[in-house]
Amino acid sequence: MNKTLISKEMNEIIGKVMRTSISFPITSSDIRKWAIAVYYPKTPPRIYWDEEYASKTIFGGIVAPEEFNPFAWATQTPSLEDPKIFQTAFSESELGVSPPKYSAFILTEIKTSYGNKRMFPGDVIKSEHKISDYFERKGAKGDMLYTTVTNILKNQNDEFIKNIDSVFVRY
Amino acid sequence: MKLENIDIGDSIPSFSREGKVEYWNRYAAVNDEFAEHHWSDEVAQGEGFEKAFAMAPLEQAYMHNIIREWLGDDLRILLVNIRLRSPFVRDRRLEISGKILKKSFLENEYFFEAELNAKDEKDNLIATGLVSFSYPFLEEK
Repeated sequence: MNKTLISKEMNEIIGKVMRTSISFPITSSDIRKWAIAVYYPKTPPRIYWDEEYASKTIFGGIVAPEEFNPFAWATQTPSLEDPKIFQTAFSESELGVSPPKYSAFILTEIKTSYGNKRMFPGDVIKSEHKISDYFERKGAKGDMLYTTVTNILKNQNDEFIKNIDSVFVRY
Repeated sequence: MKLENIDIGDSIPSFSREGKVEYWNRYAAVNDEFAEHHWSDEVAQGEGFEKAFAMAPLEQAYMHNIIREWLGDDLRILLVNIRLRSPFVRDRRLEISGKILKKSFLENEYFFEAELNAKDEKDNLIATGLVSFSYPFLEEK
């Protein structure tokens, strides 16, 4: 049998919910800062920061850029007091499985599909992370383990916002 | 803009950004993303990279920006896929260009699919992207 980095235990957690997060209500300040950061040093579009302008658009008010992350820094769930079991984007240890040893952990691909609902100030967003795939490749740096993490976001009305598939490589 | 005049093969106006840690720090702050290889050349070199490099989600955000800057507020982005080919390292300039691959019209909305290429000034391919988006039909006044 060929050597593999994917253990039996790792295969068994594919598809299981690894982490459920619930955001605090999004504020217009969160959106404004995000827009400034992704457009810096240019001025972001007014729809992200000018209430009067935004009220006259098809959205009727400030709306978050599609890629906005409502979970940065702190969430309602998990709370700041909950144990921190990871310091990276994900870890098998969240499901009680030992992750493989690695010296580098790099995001290589992001695939995001959006629904018809956008994120607005006041929205509370829920997300579920799952490992949806493992695969391996031989690379210049040796055996490389690729992991696809799927993250589905919905709003407080259970309306679909977006699906993010992130592919990480560890070696 | 007359969307009916946009055709398959047309270019999308390009988007560019300097690779400055002072820009990336702002994204680190809003995304709570503080991996050391995004500001420390030493750490990045220890992982086999030339210098500190930009965050992949920020590069993906730039792939949203190129479409938003082109079409404005009434745009509906349906999909943005980015594949990182090489790191966007500090002190380089990123330029994203795009080309329309598909176009269709359904229920008063135009639907487009486009490919994007992000390169630095040394012509290194930094990332490729695939985006799909729709835009409301605008009747001539």
